[in-house]
Amino acid sequence: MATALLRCFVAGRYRDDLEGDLLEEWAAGRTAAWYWGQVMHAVCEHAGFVIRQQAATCLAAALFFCGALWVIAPLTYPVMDWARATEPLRVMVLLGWLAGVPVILGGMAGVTERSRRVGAILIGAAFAWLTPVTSPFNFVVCDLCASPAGSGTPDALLYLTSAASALLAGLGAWTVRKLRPAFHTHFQENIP
Amino acid sequence: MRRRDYLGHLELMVLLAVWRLKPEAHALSIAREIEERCGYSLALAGIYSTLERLREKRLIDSSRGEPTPIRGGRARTYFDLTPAGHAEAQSTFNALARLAPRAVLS
Repeated sequence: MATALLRCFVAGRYRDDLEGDLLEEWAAGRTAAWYWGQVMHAVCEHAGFVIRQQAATCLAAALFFCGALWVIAPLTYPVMDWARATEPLRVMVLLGWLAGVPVILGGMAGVTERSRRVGAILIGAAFAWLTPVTSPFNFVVCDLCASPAGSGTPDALLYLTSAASALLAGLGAWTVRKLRPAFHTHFQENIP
Repeated sequence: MRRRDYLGHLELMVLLAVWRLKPEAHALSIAREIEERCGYSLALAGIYSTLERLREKRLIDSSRGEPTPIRGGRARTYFDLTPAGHAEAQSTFNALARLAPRAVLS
């Protein structure tokens, strides 16, 4: 699991070397706590590196996501009112909102970026979602999570949905980034 | 005028460790060397990011070793100082030595 985390969140020239070193030390008798500590350090180190290298992209992504959420959140109130009234649809709308909106926003960010800046966009999105600036979005999510007869949503859920949304936004950006060359090839081959 | 890019504390330590360990300088051996001689326990990721900075400054070179089963089939990267790396390590160390008071040196 720690190795999978390393592969997901750490990139760069020496990632394979680091994986090899960790495996070698693990075989030599290092503890799981040491292994996890090294992996978490590598993730933080890489995030810091991306922020330093792509500071402008991080800032632009954070501003983009903050702005997009401020615009989108009020637009969803009518949809939520409608969804709350129909219990079976409430969960579907909730899942669609939680998963779909971040993926679409991340995809839009992925379309606009021109080089390998997906990591910076992910960090910017996480920053946008985890700050009070996006509280309208979080209130919307909490409203939608609460069942009509329920007593509300725990605060922990609010932060969990924020983190998950940031990850989904990164997934959207990454997917678009991966698919873009295939689209370009397809259109170049099929359009005379 | 371009500002000179001075070596940081960790960069100097890694550069000196590479110098001391060559031709067997790799991240694990560098981390062990610094821990044994200086008492600093450094994360491997910190060593690699420092090595990357040194490589960007053209102070070190690297070469790939053979993949081994114990490393999950991954090769090891060995590091060596470039002539510029030797000069930079020497001049930074000399500058520190000239700056240090007599009590620190003794």
